[in-house]
Amino acid sequence: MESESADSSGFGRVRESAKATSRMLFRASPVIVLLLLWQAIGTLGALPVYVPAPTTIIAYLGVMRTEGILIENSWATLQLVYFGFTGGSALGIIVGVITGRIAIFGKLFDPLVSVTYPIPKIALFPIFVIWFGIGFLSKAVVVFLAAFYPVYIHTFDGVRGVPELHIWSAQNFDASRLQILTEVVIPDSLPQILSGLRVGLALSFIVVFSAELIQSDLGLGQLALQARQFNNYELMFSAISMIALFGVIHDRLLLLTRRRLLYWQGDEH
Amino acid sequence: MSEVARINDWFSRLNDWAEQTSYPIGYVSIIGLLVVWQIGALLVSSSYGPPLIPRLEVVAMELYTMLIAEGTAYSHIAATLFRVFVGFTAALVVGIPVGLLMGSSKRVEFVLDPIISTFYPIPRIAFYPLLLTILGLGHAPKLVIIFLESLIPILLGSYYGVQGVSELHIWSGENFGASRLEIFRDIVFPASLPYIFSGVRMAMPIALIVTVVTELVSSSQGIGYIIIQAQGSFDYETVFAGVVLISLIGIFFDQALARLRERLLFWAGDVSIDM
Repeated sequence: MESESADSSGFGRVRESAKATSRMLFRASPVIVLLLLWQAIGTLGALPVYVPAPTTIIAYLGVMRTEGILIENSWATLQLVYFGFTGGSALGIIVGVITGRIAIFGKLFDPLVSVTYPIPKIALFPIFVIWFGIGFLSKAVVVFLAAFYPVYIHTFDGVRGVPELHIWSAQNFDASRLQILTEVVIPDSLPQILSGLRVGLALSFIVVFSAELIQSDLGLGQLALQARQFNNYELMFSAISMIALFGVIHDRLLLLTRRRLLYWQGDEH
Repeated sequence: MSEVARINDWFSRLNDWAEQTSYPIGYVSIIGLLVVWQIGALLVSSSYGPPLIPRLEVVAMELYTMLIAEGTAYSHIAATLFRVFVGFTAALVVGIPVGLLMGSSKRVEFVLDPIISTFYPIPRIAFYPLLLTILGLGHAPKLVIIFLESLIPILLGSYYGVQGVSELHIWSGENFGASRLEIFRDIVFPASLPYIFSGVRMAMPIALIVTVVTELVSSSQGIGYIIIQAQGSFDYETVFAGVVLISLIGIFFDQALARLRERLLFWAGDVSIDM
């Protein structure tokens, strides 16, 4: 990698990256056209009252920043996603590997999961509010559960799908159990685990925002609801665009990680 | 040393037994959960107000009242089912054709693919307060948001389905002089059905989540409304009974889709779409 970049001239690299950027812009052009159209209609004053133009939203975000509510509420929401998603997916991967590898745990535990999986976890949120109060913990628990299930199910399927042949050949080379786990089972099921993580992340954002809409003292969802009560559409759209931005950024980060980890799989898209 | 070896040996024999036994040992964990709940209910008793964890038989009595003795729950169940059904059907009707079109036409793909992949990670539920403002408090905003949330998995499933059709099959169809319509009807569509179905199976729980959320946020009907109403009046037995009801609906839909798949797609292996 190092020598390669040293070989190519600086000019070549700039042209390469310019080409990549223009290709990306071309691919994204429908989205850019939509945004420009939105702004143009806004400038002409033809948007309905409840939809402010993008520039108005950005200006309002600045106002919220100076008032201090932007960072406080965004951080409250992000914190929940980080705690819930990290905890839920970590447990999902660990339990999925155990139940996928050891038959007796799989037989015991998997029916419980497949029965509880289709339960909409957000319905449990009012119960968690009763138990833990309106605050961080009740929301963190529901996000944790929402992230656990998809990650667990994908990990379990991935571990189950590891070809026996790979495990046998590792055993033939006197690999220890731990080595088989870290060098055969986990790398083999990594693609599945990562798509479970992506589903879990998207669900975490849905559940965080929903929980904040239902009962909360802080957070972007709570801001949006408050905005509705006062018909403050700038505030509402600011909250919506922040959660949208966070959703897109975290999803792209996960995709980038996946490309790094699965470089051997080749790029499909 | 020998002690460890003996335990190891015993465990691997137990494991082998579990692997091939036909006893439904999976029920052990489900019964275990119920037992833990009941023990929790008996241990955690609050001296003030209602019990934080109602006992199983109390919740069962509550369900009996709601479903049989008084039958108050049926209008709420019907409201919830109606919303899921309409929103989800709309997503099927729009999502499948558009997804198939995206997979078949380069031009449609160019326009829609970046838009969909931008919207995929955005929690569409964030637009619910806005929809409430525009469409009022009735069924309309709920149906729209259920439609929006279940649309994208279904659409992506159909899109990936068409992309995954083997070129070889299309070429051999062309070789036999099949028209474009025939190729689509007899080759592309059947081959993408398993993917479409995976998308549908992914969208179903999301549709149910969103339905419950909309009912918890603002509603005068539905199971979510029962839950949030009971929570506000410290009627915790009813909260739990409502959660059991919505869980049963979720399990029912999941099982129904699984059975449908066995009937329709017995010839296809399970495909997981990489979202």
